[in-house]
Amino acid sequence: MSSDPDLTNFVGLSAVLTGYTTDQLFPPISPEPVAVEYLNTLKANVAATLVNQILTTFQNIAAQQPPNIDQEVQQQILDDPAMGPVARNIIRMWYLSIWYDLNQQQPITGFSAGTVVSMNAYTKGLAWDAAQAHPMGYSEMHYGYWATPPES
Amino acid sequence: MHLARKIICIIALCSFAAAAIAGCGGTQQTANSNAPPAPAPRLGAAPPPPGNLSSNLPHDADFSDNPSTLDQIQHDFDVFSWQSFVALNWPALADGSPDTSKIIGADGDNSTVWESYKESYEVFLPDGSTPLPWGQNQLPAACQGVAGSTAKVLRMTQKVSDEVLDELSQPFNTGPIVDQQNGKYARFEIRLNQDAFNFIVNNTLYNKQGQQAFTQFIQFPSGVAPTPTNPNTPVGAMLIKAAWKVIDPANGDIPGRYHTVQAYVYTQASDNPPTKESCQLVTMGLVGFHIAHKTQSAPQWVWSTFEQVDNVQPGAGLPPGAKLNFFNPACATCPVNVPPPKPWDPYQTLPPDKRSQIKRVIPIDDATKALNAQWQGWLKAVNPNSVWQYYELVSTQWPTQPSASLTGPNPTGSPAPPFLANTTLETYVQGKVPNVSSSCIMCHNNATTTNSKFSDFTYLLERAQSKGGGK
Repeated sequence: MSSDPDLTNFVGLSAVLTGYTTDQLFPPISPEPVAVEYLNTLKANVAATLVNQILTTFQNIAAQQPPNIDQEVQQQILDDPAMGPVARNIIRMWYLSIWYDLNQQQPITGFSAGTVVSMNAYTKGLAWDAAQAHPMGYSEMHYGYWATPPES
Repeated sequence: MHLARKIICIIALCSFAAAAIAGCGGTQQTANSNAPPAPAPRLGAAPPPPGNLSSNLPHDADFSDNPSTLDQIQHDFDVFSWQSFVALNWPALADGSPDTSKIIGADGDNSTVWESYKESYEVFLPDGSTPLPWGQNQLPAACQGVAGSTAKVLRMTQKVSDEVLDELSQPFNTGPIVDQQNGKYARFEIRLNQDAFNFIVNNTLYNKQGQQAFTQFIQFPSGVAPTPTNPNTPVGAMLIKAAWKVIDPANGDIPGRYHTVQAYVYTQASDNPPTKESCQLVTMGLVGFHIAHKTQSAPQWVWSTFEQVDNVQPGAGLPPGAKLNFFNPACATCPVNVPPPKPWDPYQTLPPDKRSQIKRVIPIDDATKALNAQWQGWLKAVNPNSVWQYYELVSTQWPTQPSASLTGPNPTGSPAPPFLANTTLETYVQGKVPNVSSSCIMCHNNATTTNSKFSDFTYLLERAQSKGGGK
């Protein structure tokens, strides 16, 4: 894991939020670690105090090694009126590679205007992996993959 | 659809689909290159080669330094590339195996091991028939009557006597390159080593009917590092693509800065543009060199690419005023990285303002530059006039997640660096746009057989014809 505590906490929180492992989100050997781009995007769009609050809250949760970390993150972060919307935006960012505008009426009922984080991130949205599909214009699958049903 | 897919991925480096290399199976070069390269066996008074120069072809990269970061692993793969380059260009015996009594570049230039490998046109024959056995060559009919084509004469030159350069355009038909010295088209070739050749022949993958009958998942043999208990491991399949330019001292070429050969430059007949079949014996200089090697640590293959140092900027020691191969610094208005105007007629000698004006888009990184200086220094130490000191590694692409399934998610294994191009071979697809710019693994991941099955990262199998010459 990174020597940057912010990145470590961000990836750890992201693993809980997305259901992927920390190694999947931030491989030990990676030429283009999208996690770094996502953390930078978060910091560029959310007040530093709020970002720090989210990461510190997660760090404290993780340090206690609770038996059900998902539940703790739900209660302490997702249910929090300030941190919750940001955490949900982090989930969207990982799955869709887009940072959505947070300055919209709450509660969020749909998708607001958003920005693709980067050319690199566009190809790495978790939604494509989860659906065993690929973004438009970019596929790493072998020719003829469409003739084979996805794995269950 | 198929063509569109190839164009989209246009990639590169590797676009070779193929190529070739060498001596495998443990018959020619079986020494353990994963350990620090051992000095080549010496005969008589031959001195030991400087540094890590060795005729031993590595079977896989050496990770004995326990690399833990991307940069450290990249270094190990870059060393693997230089070991491969030196071993492949080692002086060759008549049968193509390395002459361990000699040292690379001791005579300035030398015949090479890889140039004895099978060229693609010898494997995928027009009538889909079985290729001649390893070690036997066949020339295109148009070359058989050309003066100088007797083995005796060419053997006397100590050059490769059966060199045929029949490829005119770069991969995906993105366009030829035309050199700045004489306005002539560069030429290309693709060769296969014995492990790759044997796999194709043993499985009848050299024609369409054989590919149709082959129902297994195609996987070329991997190179495996020898161990004390298992010293005879396979080299693994290797494909080599080389780019050559006409060497013309009268127009400013300095032959001593190139590996040169007397080659049959063969041009196929064509209707567009109208081109007649021809074969000429020409002195050619090596300007680009790809190596693709399937290894145990890299099921997506390891992709190494080298260039002659004067391709697009002055290399060390280039005399002031000497021309570069594919860039004219005096022409500020020449369009950069743009193919020459059509029709692409290989018989044309293009005027100076139509010649290739090529720039490298992604610079060679500092660590690779430092490694290049080290290996070039060793090559120069053999002989100050060695042509091999004038080649440089651009980079090596490898899979960072090699355990990724070739049939499941992430079949490309997240290659590093993500993009890689040789200015002579992926000239017009340099850059960093996903699925468009040159990336060996990403592009070759789309390669298929003639019946649209994954072909294990080589486009060569698409060249297979029907048995008997029918459709």
